[in-house]
Amino acid sequence: MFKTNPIIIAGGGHAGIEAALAISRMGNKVTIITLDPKSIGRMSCNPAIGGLAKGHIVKEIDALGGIMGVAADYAGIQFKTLNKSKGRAVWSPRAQVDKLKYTQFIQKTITNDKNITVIGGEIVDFSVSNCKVSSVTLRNNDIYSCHSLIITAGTFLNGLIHIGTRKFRAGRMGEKPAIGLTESLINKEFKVGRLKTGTPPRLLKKSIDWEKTQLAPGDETPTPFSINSTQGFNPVNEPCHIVDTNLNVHKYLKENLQKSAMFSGQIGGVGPRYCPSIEDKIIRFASRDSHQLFLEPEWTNSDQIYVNGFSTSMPESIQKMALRQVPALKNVEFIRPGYAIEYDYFPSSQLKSTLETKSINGLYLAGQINGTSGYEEAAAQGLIAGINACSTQKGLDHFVLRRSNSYIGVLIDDLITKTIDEPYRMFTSRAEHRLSLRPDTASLRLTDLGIKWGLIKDKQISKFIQFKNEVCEVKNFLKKTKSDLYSESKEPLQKTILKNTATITQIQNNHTELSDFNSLSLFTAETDLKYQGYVDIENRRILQFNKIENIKIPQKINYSKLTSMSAESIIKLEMVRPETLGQATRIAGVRASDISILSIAIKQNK
Amino acid sequence: MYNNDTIAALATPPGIGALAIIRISGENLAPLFQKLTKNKAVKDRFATFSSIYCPNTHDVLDSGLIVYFKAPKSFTGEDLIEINCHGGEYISKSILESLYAFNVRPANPGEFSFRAFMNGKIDLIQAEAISELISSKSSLAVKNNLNSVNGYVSNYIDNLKNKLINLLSLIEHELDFTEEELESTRYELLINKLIEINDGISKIANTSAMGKMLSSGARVVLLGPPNAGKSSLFNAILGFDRAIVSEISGTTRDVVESWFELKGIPVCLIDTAGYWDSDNYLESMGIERTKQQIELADIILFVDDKYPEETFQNLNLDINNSKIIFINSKSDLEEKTINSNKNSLLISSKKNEGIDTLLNMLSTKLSSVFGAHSDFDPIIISKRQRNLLLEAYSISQQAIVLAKNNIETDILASTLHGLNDTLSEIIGNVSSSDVVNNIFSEFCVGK
Repeated sequence: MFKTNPIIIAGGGHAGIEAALAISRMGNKVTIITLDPKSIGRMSCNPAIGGLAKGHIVKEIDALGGIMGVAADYAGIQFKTLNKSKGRAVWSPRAQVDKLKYTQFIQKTITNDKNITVIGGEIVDFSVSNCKVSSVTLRNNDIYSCHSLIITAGTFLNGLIHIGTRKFRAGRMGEKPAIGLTESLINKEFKVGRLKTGTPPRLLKKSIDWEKTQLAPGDETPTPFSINSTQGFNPVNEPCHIVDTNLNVHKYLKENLQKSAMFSGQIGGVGPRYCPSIEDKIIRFASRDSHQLFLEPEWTNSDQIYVNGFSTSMPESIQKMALRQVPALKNVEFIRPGYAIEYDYFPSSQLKSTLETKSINGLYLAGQINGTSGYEEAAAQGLIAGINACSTQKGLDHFVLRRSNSYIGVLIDDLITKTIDEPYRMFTSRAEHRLSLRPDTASLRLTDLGIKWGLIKDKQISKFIQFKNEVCEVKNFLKKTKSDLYSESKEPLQKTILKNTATITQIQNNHTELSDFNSLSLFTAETDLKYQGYVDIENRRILQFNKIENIKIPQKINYSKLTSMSAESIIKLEMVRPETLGQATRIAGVRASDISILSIAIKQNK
Repeated sequence: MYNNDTIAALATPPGIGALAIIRISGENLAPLFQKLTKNKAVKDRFATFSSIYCPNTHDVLDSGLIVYFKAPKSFTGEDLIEINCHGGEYISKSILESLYAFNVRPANPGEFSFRAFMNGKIDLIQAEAISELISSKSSLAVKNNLNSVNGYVSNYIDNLKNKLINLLSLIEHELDFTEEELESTRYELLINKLIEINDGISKIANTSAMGKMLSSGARVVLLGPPNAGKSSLFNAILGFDRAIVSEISGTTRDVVESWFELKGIPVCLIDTAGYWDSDNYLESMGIERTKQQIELADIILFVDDKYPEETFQNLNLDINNSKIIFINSKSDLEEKTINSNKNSLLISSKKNEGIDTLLNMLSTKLSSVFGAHSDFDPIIISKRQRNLLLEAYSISQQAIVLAKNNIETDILASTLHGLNDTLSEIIGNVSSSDVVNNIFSEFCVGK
């Protein structure tokens, strides 16, 4: 059987979905080939979207017309902005999400999209002719020809689940792994590595003594992720619950440490430092006698409870006995145990900033296959890969975001320039332009670009324009209007904001001119004014510092001829082959003096 | 990449001297060495006494010491030959000419140091120090520039940077976790650490002021009414067992200035006599020039033979008193002993009395004005580095103010990143080719 499809996506997770929907919005046909169409849009780990820095990414995906924010707003059962004490650039929106509702919403959207075809099957190989992807082969020997292939295989490539010393091949719990695609990539000379991630056990709701837990409610006034959700957004506010581990839990785990797959040396892959397993935590933070565990419902009225903070690869009986040392969990029962999963990833220095591979045209890699962790990071990459696969087809410019305009830009730049030795997750500290990359400005930074590439639907465009105008009008009003309500003599309201003598809400209450404005526009206008001075300094500094950022390095450059460079720098530069001098500065192991040498070499080549 | 063709230049100043040194740098210079010495054995880092032959005609040009440094153990990191020939323009010129006729190119200004930098032999700070070293005016300045060449400044700034990065990691770490997961560090603790860093910057900025004085010299201006004895004092100071470095007439015939070395510090002594003493000096051009000199002065010696302090007050000049040494001149006149005043120094230029005390006072004053610390070697740094240090100082001051006002953590972090970038730039950790080219363009030929 031989069929033609312009763009094929391998995988229907968060990356695959955003890729497919972006291509469809741009007006092209696309085919998703996935092991199990019923698992499209599944949230395989925690029942939440957003969080520190990840919330920023969700806002950016939304600003480019993506679905993650809309789906989270639809399926959210508790909204909370994290880090509210630390400055508005690091406020991070997060939502507790009903996993079932989320998946249903995604699947319905995909099914109703006429540009998207879904095929159940397993891609085991792909062919290349003239350095370009030409077709994929399925396990049942079906062959589909294609112009582009976006691989979003998640943790499925040679997935191996560990529970204690027990191990078995799987993509996720209860799902088959994908075997063959890795070998196909290795045959085409891609470098491969192994990473590990984990998930905590799921508890039976009625086995928990809820009286003995603390309540963790969401925000009184929830803020949606999506600009599309501003009207009629009124989610339930279902509380989560907190319990603390204690010394008994730690002692029990320590005594049984050799039974953990991680500590027995059975797992070769490197796990994430920031989302460590509970056994990791008690060793690394030995001085702490307690860690918080969040008990999160997986969906409304769910009998299944996710234990956030207790990711583990211990044997099931040890997991259970350890948790039973916590008073509220004295009689706890599992629906399924926690486990660790090892999977193949492809070091992302093999990619261009479009997420196309450097060696094969039309081949894109996005998501966990590139060594990242998290739904949001995966979705962002899927979006960028999808847009670029489609742009190439249509003869449009590449769609490349910058470190200066988005976390997605930071994410991809990091991926292609840095060596990743543990699953990569986003942090606000990775963004040097952090002050201007606030979550509330995502649309102001990106939606115009989205419109240019045809990614934004009309309804969102008009919402965006309204928001943009409102922010502008409020700022103008605050700059022009003087008042003596908040100070001894008349002063511009802008100054009142800067001096923190009144909030925008107080000002709105006193000035009827502002009464019709949306609270989100008011918030952004207020914050813009507050942060402007610092943002200017930050930008000036970075501009001055990064004069070299966009200097292109000639593709044919032969690093081994730059004999005055250190050997280590030559090896690293040869391996990554950065596109710009700015990228070169961020490659670990490349010396600053060698950057000077490289910059002079580029100049002299011209 | 730069051409690694062979370059040559005179490394010593042109003009008359007993010896001159010619430097040649390039790839594989052993054959050239043999040509120059008519097949003497090529020994690495060994001074060979030999006749110097023209590589083309094989005529003898001179005789002297010739040293071969094999790459990479040489100043430039390439093969390097140094010829110690006889001084005078003719001999060195004839050797260079014959080299230029033998596929050797005249070196551009700074090209030797540029190659050293490109070959990783020196970092940017060291390159800048070499540039300053060339124009150093005194022995102390030379010693301190050698400190810089050896990476002293880089180490100091690196140390400050490490402190800052530790502080930043603490803050960033907190931003990467939620309030529930990690307790925030108290701002008082942050402020204390910031003050420590700010002090470190201030210390090096101050000693670098000392460094500036060492490299460009301190300006000491003699000021006072007509016939107060300025010119006699000028001569007495210079004549008082001091090495006179040079004596030149200034750009206008009114200004007389002369250099001498005071405890290792180069001092430019300026006599304003020429224009102050004109009949109606208040209306003349003289007063403008005097004002200019006053502005440029590091120290002012105010001379009067009666009541120097009162005379000075009456002039209504806007000068900080700490820059002034009051001198009661002509102490040899009899009535003086009665009039002596605690705040001014009694001096007789004629009898050479009090000059020693004055010089001691001057040296102490110079050290205090320039903030030299006894526990800390003064450092020569370039103008570029100095400006960046001052910028770093003001950013760290601002950060302290922000922290004291409980500013949001994200803004504080951004400010500290700015500080870190500025410090990095001082030691050239991130540098565009512009910076590099600027630095090397200030070199002279032969370096």
